[in-house]
Amino acid sequence: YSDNIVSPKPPQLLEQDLFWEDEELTSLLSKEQENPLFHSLETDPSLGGARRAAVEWLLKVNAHYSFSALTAVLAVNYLDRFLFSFHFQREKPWMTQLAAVACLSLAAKVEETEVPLLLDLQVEDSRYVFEAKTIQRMEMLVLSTLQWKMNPVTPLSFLDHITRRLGLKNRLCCEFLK
Amino acid sequence: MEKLLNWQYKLGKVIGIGAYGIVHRGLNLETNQIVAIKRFYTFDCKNGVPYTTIREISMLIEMYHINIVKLLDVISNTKNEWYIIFEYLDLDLEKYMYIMHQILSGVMYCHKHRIMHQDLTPDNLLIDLNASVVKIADFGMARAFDFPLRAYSPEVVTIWYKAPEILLGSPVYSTAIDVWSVGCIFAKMLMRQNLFAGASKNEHLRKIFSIMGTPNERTWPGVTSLPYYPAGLPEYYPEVISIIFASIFFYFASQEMLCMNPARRISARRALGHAYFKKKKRKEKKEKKMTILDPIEKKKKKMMMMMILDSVSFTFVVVVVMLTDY
Repeated sequence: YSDNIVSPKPPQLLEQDLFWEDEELTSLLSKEQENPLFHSLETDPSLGGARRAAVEWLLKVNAHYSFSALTAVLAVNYLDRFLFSFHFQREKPWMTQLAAVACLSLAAKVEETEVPLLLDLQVEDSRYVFEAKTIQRMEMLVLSTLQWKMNPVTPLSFLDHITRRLGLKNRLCCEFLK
Repeated sequence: MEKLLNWQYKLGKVIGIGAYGIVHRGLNLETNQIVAIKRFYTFDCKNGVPYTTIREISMLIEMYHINIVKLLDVISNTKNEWYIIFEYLDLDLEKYMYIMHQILSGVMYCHKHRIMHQDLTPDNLLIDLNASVVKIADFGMARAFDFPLRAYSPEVVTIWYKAPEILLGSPVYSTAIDVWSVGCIFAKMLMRQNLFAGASKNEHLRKIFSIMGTPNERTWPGVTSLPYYPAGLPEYYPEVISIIFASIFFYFASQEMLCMNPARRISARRALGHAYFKKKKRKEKKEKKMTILDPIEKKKKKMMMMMILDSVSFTFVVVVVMLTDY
């Protein structure tokens, strides 16, 4: 690996960004939250099953559209927080799927530069297909349930912080992060 | 005003229109607080909630800083209409750029109508935040030109903006004294501190002379025979150092912010630490103590000119004007 490889440069760490490192870390640590769903998953196997199916589907669609890793992490984060705070009827399995579509759509809108239409998101053997209007309503429900806090601290935030701090700002590292 | 159904907000006049929607002035009926209400155009369903809305709200909802606009509430109704409630702010910076122009127009109007203000200070320049205008206030010291000159003791009011001819006890003076005051205010806006600030009349005069040069019969015929012309003052030569220093700090600060190479461009943090932006809190406190305030002045401390010190464009103009003067 040498410097004269001509390639699109990843976002660079500028010298002045280093000034923030300690404050940034403090902020990350203070905002970091445990996954609230963890204990419910251990005690409630049906919830665990529904969640696993939803997450697997999310990851497939994420790969289908080549969304970044962060998009997937965000979508799962939204889904977990939503499943934890919003107690809808479990006997309606399509509700989890609807929530998953909405969460992925929201995550993509937060993180990606190009986002497919709501209808187009429902690929990779989606068990149910919802109308755009329905998904939109679910999006709003997720947004208000999560109190619009759509920028959580994720493991990737720390990874990003550490690599920047170590000065590993080369392409290889960015590729890895993706 | 249109009342929003079931909400505690009343929609007022439109204060801004953008690609996303319309911003209204509004009133919180419960708290009587004036707010800004951003009303989104109803979005089409294909894309769901627009990403701009998601990003804007989710960013702002977790930020708490005095210099970042405060998001108060997010409201949606059954008709799929979205409203974001912000704290209400009066002006955008764009409108501030005309402040110096406004001050001078006001002064010109006075002079045209044969009125001298005689007490122009930053405290006497008020800002109407709704209409974005600067207004000259406190005409307690003002007079029409025709009136006979009354005995006038400069010691009872702030002397920092007083023209030298008054301090020297000239029996006649003119609208030029207001222009001097405006000059001092300009300099203060540029330098973030008073250009001349003496504790006493004599010290103040000495400060003026030390920067602008000691006046003599050649530069100002008749000056040496004015009542308070201090004897035995050193012969100062004009120096523009203080003004230049302020301009240079400002110049460097803005140069570094406008560095084309992003890697070399100054960070916000370092720029804040720049000499030009350094707060002069301690000094200003000291200055305040030293000021002998007119009781009328004390009443209206609300809208201080200090708010607009960093307006870039006029500062450049001031620098250019000041330097070409020499």
